[in-house]
Amino acid sequence: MRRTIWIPSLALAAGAALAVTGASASPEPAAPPAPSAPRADTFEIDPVHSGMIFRIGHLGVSNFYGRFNQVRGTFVLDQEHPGRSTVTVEIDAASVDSNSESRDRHIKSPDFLNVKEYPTITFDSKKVVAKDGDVFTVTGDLTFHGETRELTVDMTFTGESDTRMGYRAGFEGQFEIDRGDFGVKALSGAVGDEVRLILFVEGMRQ
Amino acid sequence: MPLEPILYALAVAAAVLALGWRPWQGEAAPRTGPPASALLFPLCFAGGWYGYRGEPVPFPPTEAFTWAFSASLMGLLLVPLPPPDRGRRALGVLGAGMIAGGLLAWGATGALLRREHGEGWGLALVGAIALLVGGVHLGLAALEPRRGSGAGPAWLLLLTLATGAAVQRGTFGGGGLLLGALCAGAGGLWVLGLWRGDWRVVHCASAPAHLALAGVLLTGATYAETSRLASAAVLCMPLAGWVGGRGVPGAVARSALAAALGAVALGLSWPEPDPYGAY
Repeated sequence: MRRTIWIPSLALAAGAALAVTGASASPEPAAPPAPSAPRADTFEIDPVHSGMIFRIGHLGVSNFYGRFNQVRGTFVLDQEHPGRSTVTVEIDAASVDSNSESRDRHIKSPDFLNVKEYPTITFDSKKVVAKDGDVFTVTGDLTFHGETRELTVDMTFTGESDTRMGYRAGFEGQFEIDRGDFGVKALSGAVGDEVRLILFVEGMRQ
Repeated sequence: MPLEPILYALAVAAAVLALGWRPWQGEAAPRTGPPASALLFPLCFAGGWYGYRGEPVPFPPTEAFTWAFSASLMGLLLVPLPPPDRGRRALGVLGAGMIAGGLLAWGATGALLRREHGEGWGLALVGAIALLVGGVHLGLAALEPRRGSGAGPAWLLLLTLATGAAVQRGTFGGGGLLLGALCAGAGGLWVLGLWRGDWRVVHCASAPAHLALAGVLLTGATYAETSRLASAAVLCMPLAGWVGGRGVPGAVARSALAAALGAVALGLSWPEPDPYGAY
């Protein structure tokens, strides 16, 4: 992952140095670009390019996919010391989208998410460990439907780039919960207990 | 939705009736039986909840929906206050209003109402709901001495609970099932009343029944998208018992008003056509 950040940085620095050298005929040789010190960058999650997909069994015959459209939060990415990285994600429970308005109303009701009583789903990291390659193991507290449980998620770094929309980095990870552990027990059997969640975030560097 | 909650509540009602069979034979039965029958509604609620969530209903409440059970339990405090005179009737109304208002003011639903409508309007809504619940308590509990028979109020209670269940089916399945579970309790009252020829069971059990009804309807109207007007119409249905005189014309007038309120409630909450069956 560091390679991906350094190569463009070095190329930009070299390009800048060449440009400076070419533009001003200074007798002084251009100073070699100082390697910028690795730092902890703070990224704000871009809600338009982030989301959470859920997968849940239906009647024991199929897997149904839906999503939460509103994801907010921040993450701090310290590439030199991954253990100092943090992530805080807040998902608007009322943004659930199952491609059916009447079903969405039911999912938002106290039968399932009870979004008026528990408006947000949050994840706050407590520990981040670099695993291998671009994978980070993140341990934190998931608060869902008013219940908080510790959870460990493998988050994969999906890329970073200095884009025309600013410097951006992205992650995604998936994990599974038993909805009953969080007190969402209605229609057990007809609707599966295990819920697979896929979180994908794109952050804008602050 | 699966019908386990109603089946569990039916089993609870049957068990209560079976256990009460012998005590109802004793000399003290007319004194002790009707108040004891009031337990039927909290127990049916608890049975229905177990069928709905697969766990005992939490007490003290942990989420807004479970306050309905607490309201029903607290309604038992009003059972020793049958309304043979105006003073006790007023105490019953005050008690029902205070239970509803108190639970709302300090519970999650009251906080939500204040958050959504502002502090002043939220508190005004809490007060209005408490007044309504107190008034409906009067409507149900005072009917039997007024009419001389509890069969009509028992029928009205059953009709109200069934309409409430139907109103919630499209937006809040759990609420519909829990009111279905309370219908099982009302059915048990019918059996008791018919068997003993003693309809006091209805007014003794009315406070736990209608406080549970109010709690479930309020949960649907605030936390789900159950029509608020429809919920209010259902809650007011027992007041129809105050219309008309004795005899068949009076009964027809009462039934017509209750049916009209029920029809309005159902009309307001009729679900949109769903091309996919379940959704």
